[in-house]
Amino acid sequence: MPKISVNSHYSDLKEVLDEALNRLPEVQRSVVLLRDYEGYSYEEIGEITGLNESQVKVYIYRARVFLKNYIGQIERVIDL
Amino acid sequence: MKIDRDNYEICFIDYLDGNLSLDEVDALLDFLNENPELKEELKGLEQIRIEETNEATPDFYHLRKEDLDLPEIFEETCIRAIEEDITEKERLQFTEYLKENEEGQKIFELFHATISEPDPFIVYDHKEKLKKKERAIVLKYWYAIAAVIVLGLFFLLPRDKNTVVPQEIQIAQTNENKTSVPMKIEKEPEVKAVVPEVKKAGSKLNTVTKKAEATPEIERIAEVIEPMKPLDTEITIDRVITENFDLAQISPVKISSEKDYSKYLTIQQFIAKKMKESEKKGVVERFALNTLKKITGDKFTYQTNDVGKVKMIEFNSQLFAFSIPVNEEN
Repeated sequence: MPKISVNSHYSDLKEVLDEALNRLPEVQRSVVLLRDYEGYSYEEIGEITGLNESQVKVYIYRARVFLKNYIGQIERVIDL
Repeated sequence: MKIDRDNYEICFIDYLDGNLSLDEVDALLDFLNENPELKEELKGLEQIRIEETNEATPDFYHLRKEDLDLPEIFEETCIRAIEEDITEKERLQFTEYLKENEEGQKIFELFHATISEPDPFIVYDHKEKLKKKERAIVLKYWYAIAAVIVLGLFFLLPRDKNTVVPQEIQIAQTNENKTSVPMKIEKEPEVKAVVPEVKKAGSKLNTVTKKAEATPEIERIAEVIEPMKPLDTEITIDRVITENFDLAQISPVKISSEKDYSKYLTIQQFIAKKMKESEKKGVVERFALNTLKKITGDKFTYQTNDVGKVKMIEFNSQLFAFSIPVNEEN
């Protein structure tokens, strides 16, 4: 798998990502942060949030797509 | 269900599947006779049959590489890759795809950038306490334990303090040799004097208040029992059960006008006295505790002293246990 590197003009990527996270619905933000910050498995996140594993996967999927699109939009604006 | 042109298709399918009752089949046949054109439609449906084939299920796995060209499939694969929710074979295939697809690699980089990293300077020492899972278990059992304790206290707490307990109890003189005796009760002028006042006043409360100091026991009788008439007849008690009561053996008692009624018990007072005695012996407590023991499946137990009084209450479940010594004064 190719090595992932963040573009140089993303020096403030964390700020952009935080902004995007704040725009997420509460449940999606929770599952993403539990996944990224704490490294919980889908099953553990389900136990914590009261969701089943499939719901956790779906929320994480939707959140990732939203975050990717948000970051992509910012990137395009910067490129312009 | 009445069959009409709006729902006949459902009935046709149920009929073909054999899910209609005899009455419904009759109704369907009547409907078909009224609508012959639909009868032809049903015949056409009956000819449709899907035969099971013995052919092996084709392997669609080879289609997956082409699927990566679809944006939805590609995005899902990207997310599964960064979530490490991907098989080794899929990962190799995906890597090969990214090498040949520069645009896809950029999208994958964006997905990878969505992974948040915690601020290392923010540390919460009591993070373990925030875990919802552990809290839920404790709360769940806490409610059960609280329910048991409340139930236990309900039975163990002393009776109502307002219960009337006579200070001086004397029912009658006893005579061990006689169980069937006549009892003669003579006319009692004091009772006669109080009851008419109750009727005249029209309010028992007022009467009781006025006479409370003079004859409290007699007025209590007047509240519960209908106004008493003076007794001048001879009452015979044929048999008195003597096993469990202090009333025991009864000897002839003459109640003269000079007798003090405060020495005798009303029915309420007698029941209150018996309850008090039962409490002293721990009968009520043990009954309540045995009930709790059955309800909790022997998780709740108790210990008694030599005289049967409860001296220790214990509760022991898999997750929680406690024991409470009981103060004998309570």
